Amino acid sequence: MITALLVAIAAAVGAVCRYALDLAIQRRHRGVFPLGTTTINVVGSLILGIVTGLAARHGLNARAAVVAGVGFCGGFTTFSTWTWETLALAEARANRLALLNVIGSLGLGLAAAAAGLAMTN
Amino acid sequence: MPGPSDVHGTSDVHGPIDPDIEPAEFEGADGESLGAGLPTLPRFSIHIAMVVFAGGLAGGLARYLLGRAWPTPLRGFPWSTFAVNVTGSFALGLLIILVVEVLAHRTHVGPARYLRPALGTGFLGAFTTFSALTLSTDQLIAHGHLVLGLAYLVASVAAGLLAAIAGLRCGRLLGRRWPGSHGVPGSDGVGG
Repeated sequence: MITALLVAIAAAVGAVCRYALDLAIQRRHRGVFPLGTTTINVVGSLILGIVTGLAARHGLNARAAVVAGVGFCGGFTTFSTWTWETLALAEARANRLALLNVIGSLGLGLAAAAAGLAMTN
Repeated sequence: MPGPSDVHGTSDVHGPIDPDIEPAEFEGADGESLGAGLPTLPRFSIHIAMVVFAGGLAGGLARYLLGRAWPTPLRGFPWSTFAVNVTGSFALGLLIILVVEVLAHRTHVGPARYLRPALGTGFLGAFTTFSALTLSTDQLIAHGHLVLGLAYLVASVAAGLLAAIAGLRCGRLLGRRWPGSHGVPGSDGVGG
C-alpha cells in the first residue's frame, strides 16, 4: 500500500521532470527531430540499469528499487510519446527521421540500460 | 495573424515537435518560428506542471498495479509492460487527434487546454514506459534468451506503432462525426 503510493508519487515526479526537460531541450533545438524524448528515454534507461544493478548486487532496498525503477524511471521515460512522434515524423514525410527515431532510441536505450547494469558490476 | 488562432490553422503538420506539450500557450509574433508552419513551443507553466503531476500519479499507479496483478515470470515475456505500451500508444494517438484536430477551437480557454498535458504528458506518459522495455530486453539477451528478447523488442515497437496509427484513424473517424468539429485536416493520414 505504502509502496504503491510511493511509486505513484515517484512516477508523477518523473512525469514533471519529463515535461520540463523535454520543453527545455526542444526550445533550444531547431528542427523537427524529437531530441527531447530521445534524451529522456536514454537517460531513464541508464538510471534504471543502475538501480537494477544496485538492487541485484549492492543490496539496495527492494522498496527503494521499485520506487526509483518502476516509479521514477517508468514515469520519466515514455513509450507512447515516442511511438506518436515517430508516426508524426512519418506523416510529415520525414521518413528517414522517423526511422532514425526508432533505431536511434532503441540502440541508445539498450546501450544505456546495459551500461547502467555494467557500471554496478 | 499571430498567436494561437493561426497555430491550429497550420497544424496539419502537427507532430515532430513534442505532441504532448500543451499547444495553447504559444508566443506572439516575436516568437521564433521553427519553420514549416511549426509553432514555437510554449514556456514552462506551473499550472501545466501541476496537471502533469496529477496525471503522472494516476498513470504510474495504474502501471504498477497492473504489473502486480499480472507479474512477469522470471525470464518470461513481459506481457504487462507490452500491454501497457500498446494500449497507451493507441490512447495517445486518439487523444491527440481529438484534442488537436477536433477540439482545437475549444482548447485555448477553459479546462480543455489541460486535457492534453493531464492525459497525454501526465497519465499516458507515465503509464507507458521505455526504460522497462530496454532493460528487460537487455536482461533477456544477457541470460541467453536472445530470440525472446528480440521478439519482445520488435513486437513492442511494431504493435505500438500500429496502435498509434489505429488511434489516429479512430480519432479522425470520430472527428468526422463530431458535432461542431471544425473539420479534420490532414486526414489522408499515414499509409494512405
